[in-house]
Amino acid sequence: MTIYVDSDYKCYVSMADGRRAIETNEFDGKCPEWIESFRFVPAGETWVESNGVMFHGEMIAPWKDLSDAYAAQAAYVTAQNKQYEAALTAIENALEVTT
Amino acid sequence: MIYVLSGEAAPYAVIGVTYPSGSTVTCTNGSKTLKAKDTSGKALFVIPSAGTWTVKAVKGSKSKSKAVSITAEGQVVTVTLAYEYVIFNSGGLNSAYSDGGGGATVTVTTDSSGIKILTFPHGGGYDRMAYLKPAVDLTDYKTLKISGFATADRKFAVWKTVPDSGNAGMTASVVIRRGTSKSSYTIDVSNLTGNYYLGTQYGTGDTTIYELVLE
Repeated sequence: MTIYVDSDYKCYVSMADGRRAIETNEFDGKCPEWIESFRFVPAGETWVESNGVMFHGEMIAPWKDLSDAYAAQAAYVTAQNKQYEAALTAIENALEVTT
Repeated sequence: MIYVLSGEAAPYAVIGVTYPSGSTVTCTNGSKTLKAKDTSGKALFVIPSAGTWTVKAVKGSKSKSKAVSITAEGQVVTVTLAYEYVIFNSGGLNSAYSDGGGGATVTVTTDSSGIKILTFPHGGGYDRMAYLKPAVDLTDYKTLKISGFATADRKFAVWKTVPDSGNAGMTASVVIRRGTSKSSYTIDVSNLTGNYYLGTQYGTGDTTIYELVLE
């Protein structure tokens, strides 16, 4: 999937000024709230924190508390499962089979 | 907030301190001690005189101090205090930890130079995970510093749940590069609170660790 990072390596799900696109499968299956709670430093790059601490890529870590992200991700998975179940039911009905 | 010693001379310099919230912080020079009035994680101390001032944070059994040299009037110095917690280094594995029982047994041995190493093996099969138990409370730490190498690129990670090959509980990670000599890596854990397991993702190679330290 494509994510976007700013100059501070914070992740986003949409493009905007100051962001660049990165292809990664690290966030497959994750909701936007989850993705935008993380910092992703690609391989070969280094994020230098304001206090001088260096983080070499590839490094993935949250840049904010994950409480909201966990809740959003749980809701996202529940919604996806409902979609899958509805699609399966539609297929079963079309094929006139039951499970 | 600015804290000034009652009855002291005019401000001479300022020391700004960032520290783990919930800690008691003092700034001492000889018999003079300034104390932060809250435990918010940030404090500004107005220093009344030149000299070496020791800034110290204490929280339970943890403590960390740094000496700050004040030499010029108007000097402003910023200090970050972080507690250090050694999980593994040349002295061996912290006695609080052991193999997590994930099927790929974490072991302490020595390298060809006789230096102690902590090996997170591949375990020989899917779902055989290498990690330490118990989970570690990351609340008061900013970084997890790792020194080591791997026989194939492999993530070292902190996990919210018991590590599994599907990486469901993997919350933060760094890729330990394939090699034969150690390199240094750092994971930002500053926004993680509570208990997390430390271990490698499922992989086909072994990971050799020389140092595993929280700061």
